[in-house]
Amino acid sequence: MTEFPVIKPRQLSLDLPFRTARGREDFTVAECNKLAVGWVDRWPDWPNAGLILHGPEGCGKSHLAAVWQGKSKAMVLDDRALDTSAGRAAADRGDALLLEDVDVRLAVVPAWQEALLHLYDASRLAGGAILLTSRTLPSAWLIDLPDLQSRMAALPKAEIALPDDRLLEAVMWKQFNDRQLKVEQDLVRYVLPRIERSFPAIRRFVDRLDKISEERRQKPTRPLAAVLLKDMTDFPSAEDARKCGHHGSGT
Amino acid sequence: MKISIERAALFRSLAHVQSVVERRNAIPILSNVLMQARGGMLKLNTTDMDTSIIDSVEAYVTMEGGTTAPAHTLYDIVRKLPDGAHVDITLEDGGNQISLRAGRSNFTLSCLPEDDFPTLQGDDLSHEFTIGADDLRAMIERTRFAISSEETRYYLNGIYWHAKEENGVKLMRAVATDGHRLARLEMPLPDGAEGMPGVIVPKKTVDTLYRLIAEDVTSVHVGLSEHKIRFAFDNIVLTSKLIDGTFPDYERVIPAGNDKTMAVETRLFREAVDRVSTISSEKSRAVKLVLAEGSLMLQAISPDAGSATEELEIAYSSSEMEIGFNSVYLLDIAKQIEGEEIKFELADSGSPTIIRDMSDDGALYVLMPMRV
Repeated sequence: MTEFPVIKPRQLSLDLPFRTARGREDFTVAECNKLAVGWVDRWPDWPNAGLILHGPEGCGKSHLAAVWQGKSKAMVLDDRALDTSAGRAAADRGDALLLEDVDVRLAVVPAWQEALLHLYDASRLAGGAILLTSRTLPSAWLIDLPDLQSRMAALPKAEIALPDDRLLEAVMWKQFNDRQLKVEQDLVRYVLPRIERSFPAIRRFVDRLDKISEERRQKPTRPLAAVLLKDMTDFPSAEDARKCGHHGSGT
Repeated sequence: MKISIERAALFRSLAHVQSVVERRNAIPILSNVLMQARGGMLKLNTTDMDTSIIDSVEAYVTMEGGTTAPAHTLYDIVRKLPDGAHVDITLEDGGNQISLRAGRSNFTLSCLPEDDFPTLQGDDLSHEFTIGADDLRAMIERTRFAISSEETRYYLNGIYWHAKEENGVKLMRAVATDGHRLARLEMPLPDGAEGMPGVIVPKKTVDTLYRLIAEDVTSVHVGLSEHKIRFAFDNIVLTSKLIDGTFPDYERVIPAGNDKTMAVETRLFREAVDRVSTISSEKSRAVKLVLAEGSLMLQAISPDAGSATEELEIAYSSSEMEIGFNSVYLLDIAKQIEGEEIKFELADSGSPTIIRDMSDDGALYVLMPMRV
């Protein structure tokens, strides 16, 4: 007979996607982000041709950028924009442009320097606007082109700072709501004082609680959350480590 | 109100409508069936505020009127009356009670006024179409076993019913998943269903509907909007609220690149899984499939009960692999397969497996493995 070692079987679960709510009404305004929200709400009444939205991973930059994109109908630029003329054509027409995670893109693909410079100039000439998101300020970006450095330095910046308690709680509820997961208030109140005070930590926690409760067919209760919190502290998974270093969190 | 009705006809209609009435109700009138006698018909209506069933039956109406009476009690009384009995129902005591007489049996039941009975409106339905009862039955049969019963994930507590166009072909799809397995059945889209919103029909409605159309029904008229659905057939109208949630983009969990295929005789596979799983542990119900060219070894082991293996001949020519599954899930799916052969499309031991009925292109099942 083939060897069949006795180990505890574990049911895997389907990776069913959920839809992240990206409406303006889904964005919780707090002290740490009200400046950035104000900029987006004021669009198109901007004094300059663009804005840099910066803040730590998972702070809501992409959400706010999506709100702005919805208002401005901006073209979302990704790495394909480097090989096609679509981005340049949009800039020449004065269409709004959105480029996310610009710090990471510049670090990984140096060709973005040239492309960004041309897009910015064309957009400005045509009276368009550009929104850039980044975890850091332009002074920390890997830029060799002095013209690009000076243009980025001159753009207005809006920071989303570290969250306060009220916002952390709102973000945790939003994470559960995005997953259409019903949880009790005492779970949220139990977890918040015991978890790292960051958006990525909250997202990872909700993600894992969702997954583990689905695999085990258990309700996401406070005792299950307690076990998970302990596990996450004792043994951060490879997946967690990868997510920690991943950009574009989609909070 | 005063009516006379055949016991068999009344019993059949009460059986239809009483299933939606909960045994315990905080609101007393929800325990009652609304009875309205008008124009030679007795209309019976029950509701739990989420679902409503109306059934109309011919009756000899001496005096028109209406009232509500305890549904389960009335059903139990009529059930126990002898076949062929005639039942006389009369509203008495200024509308506070009904008397029910059949032969030498007499009953009085307390009533509540018909005006207090809540109605579940089913008008303003944006899409209406007719579907064959066999098609509707198949859509329920093939998918409902995969409905999640976990209330936390309320948006999975039903069958997702939606229209889909693929390669120029208009289809109607029924999908259910509990996060461990997924069942999808598709068929040509009925006329009139174009542009219908995707809706999640609650499990209770699905089960009630299945019970009701299991009789001699040939077609069902369906009306739906984003919030309600109505099924009408014979003299029955079932109206239900829909689950207010978003069904996940399930197509993203149906793998496209599973390149290892295994075909096995359905009956032999089902029986072998059933036998071997007798040994698997009560909690996990795990069985392991060891695939090699031309052969499948099913294995189960339990620290307490022992172990079991069984070998089957299969059509398989890819590299050897091992994969574990919950035997209950395997059997649930195998029971849906009507064709002689069942086909597995596999990738590896940690990825979703597709299972198909070789005789039915419209049915597809996705099953997540177990780490064993």
